[in-house]
Amino acid sequence: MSATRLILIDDDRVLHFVMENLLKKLYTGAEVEHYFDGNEVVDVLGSFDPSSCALIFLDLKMSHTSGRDLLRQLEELDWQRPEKVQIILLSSSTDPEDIALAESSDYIEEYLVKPPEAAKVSDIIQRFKALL
Amino acid sequence: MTKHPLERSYKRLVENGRDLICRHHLDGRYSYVSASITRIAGWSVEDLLEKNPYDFFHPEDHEYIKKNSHKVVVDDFDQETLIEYRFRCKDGQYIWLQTFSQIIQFEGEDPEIYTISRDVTALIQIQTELSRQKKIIEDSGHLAKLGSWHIDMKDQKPIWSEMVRKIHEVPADFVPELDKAVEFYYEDDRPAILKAIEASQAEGKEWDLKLRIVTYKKNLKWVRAVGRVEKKDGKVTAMYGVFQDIHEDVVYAQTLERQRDRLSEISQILAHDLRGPSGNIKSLIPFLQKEELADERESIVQMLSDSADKLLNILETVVDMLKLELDEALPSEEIHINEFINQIWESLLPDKTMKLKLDLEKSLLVYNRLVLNSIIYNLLSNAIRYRKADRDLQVNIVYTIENNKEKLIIEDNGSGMDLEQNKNKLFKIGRSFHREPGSKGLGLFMVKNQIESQGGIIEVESEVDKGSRFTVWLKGKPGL
Repeated sequence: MSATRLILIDDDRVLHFVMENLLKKLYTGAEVEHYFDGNEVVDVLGSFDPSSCALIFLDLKMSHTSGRDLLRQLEELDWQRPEKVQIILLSSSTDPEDIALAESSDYIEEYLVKPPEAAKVSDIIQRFKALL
Repeated sequence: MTKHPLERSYKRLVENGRDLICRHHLDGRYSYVSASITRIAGWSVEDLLEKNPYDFFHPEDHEYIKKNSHKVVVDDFDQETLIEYRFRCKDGQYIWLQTFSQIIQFEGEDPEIYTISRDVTALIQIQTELSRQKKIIEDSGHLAKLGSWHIDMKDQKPIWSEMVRKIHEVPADFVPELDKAVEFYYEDDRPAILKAIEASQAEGKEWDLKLRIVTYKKNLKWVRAVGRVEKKDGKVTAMYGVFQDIHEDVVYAQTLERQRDRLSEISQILAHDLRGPSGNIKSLIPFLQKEELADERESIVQMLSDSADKLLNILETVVDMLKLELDEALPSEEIHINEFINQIWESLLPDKTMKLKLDLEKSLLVYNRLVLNSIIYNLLSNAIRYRKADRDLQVNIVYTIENNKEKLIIEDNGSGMDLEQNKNKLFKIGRSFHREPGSKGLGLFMVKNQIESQGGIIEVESEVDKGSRFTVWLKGKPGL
């Protein structure tokens, strides 16, 4: 079994700090990988194989390549999401359009409103762990 | 004395006829009045005999009667006249009489004026009402800036109403022609009207379009053009329609739409962009109290401070945007553009590797000084900030007029941007394309808002490593 990866994609370093601290507590022993732009993770996701195992937090709005752009790029590449890879969409708004995107995309597991609440993140991790 | 039977029958005809028959001395006094006066005006024959008829005419009509009838026949016995005027009845009301007058002189007698009068009050009332209604229609057409036109296919000559002429701003001696009429439409809109006329010719359908015309005086105007084709035996016999100046309405609607866009942008900022930094502050504060993070306290405080700055920045932007919307129109003034741009350029402290070239079609520009300052300052400072390190910076500013619309072009040979995916984001709040410190992503956003508050438009072209070109249509693009 491949190692579980925790990946955080957001252009806001405060969120990285907050999430890292939450994840460290809720997911003992996990190392968090930090990315600040959607573009930086296309290759990372592309290198996954069917047995890959990852929990990804993706910010919807980033100033360069946003989460939305990244999802579009993945679709264009016909990227297949491995079974044990979950993408959680992060957004600072409760815009119905954003929620609709989360629901319509096969890549997206869930929608998490910023600032992230510990209880919600904990639920997400429990569900992810149940998958493994 | 017995009367001749023929004379008796004439007399009966005169006495019982519908018309009023009178004889007058040359000074106008009645010498004979037929009995029909009682039915027509309520007077008895005796009420009028030997009286001055001017006592019965409407005072306002005295002059008219004297000039157009009385004097005419008296001055020249061969003349006859037909006039209409007001005559007072016994009850004080006036009726309209139409009177035929001529001089008849029998041998050995004094010449006398013979008059035959008819009550035309009902007719005059209808005429007055008709012309009143015509005036109402014309007036309301005037108010609605609505005119009519038609073309009779026999002579192919368009007939334009006064308002249609006024909308087109044509001179008094202008004669519209069939072929030229379509040329008044703005070039981009000609296919639409031609297609509509064609469809109407084929299917008899009416057209009703909002289009732009360029008037005789070269002004662009929004109009509503409604029309249809008349056919007889499959052949087009005429075309007709109405034409309405709706320019103010369209401009008003465009302003409203722009304001609505701006408000929705503001609400987006309030709903989304403000949440980011305020959410950050909320989630950072608990970490300050955690003992195990004591070492990181300094960096947490720094993050808090950054978030607070960001929050303040966005708040200020929203306030500025609202000011743009709510303030009275920003005053325009004459600006010496050469000096104006050079002052801003010098304030940015350019070094030897940075060159600015100006190409100005006019030396004076009428605009709001603060907005122009913001445009030039932001675009020039961006050009400097994002210049390519390996070559000298060249910035060109062109001020020119195209189709009556002023535009400013600011182009550089800097690092450029990839607009492929990001065109719509460029002017959004907080969208910085560059990772250099100091880029807050607010400048272009405010520049766009300020230009739009003046009715203008900003456009961008850019290529990575080649440079960027911003085109500012100061007061809107041609055709809008």
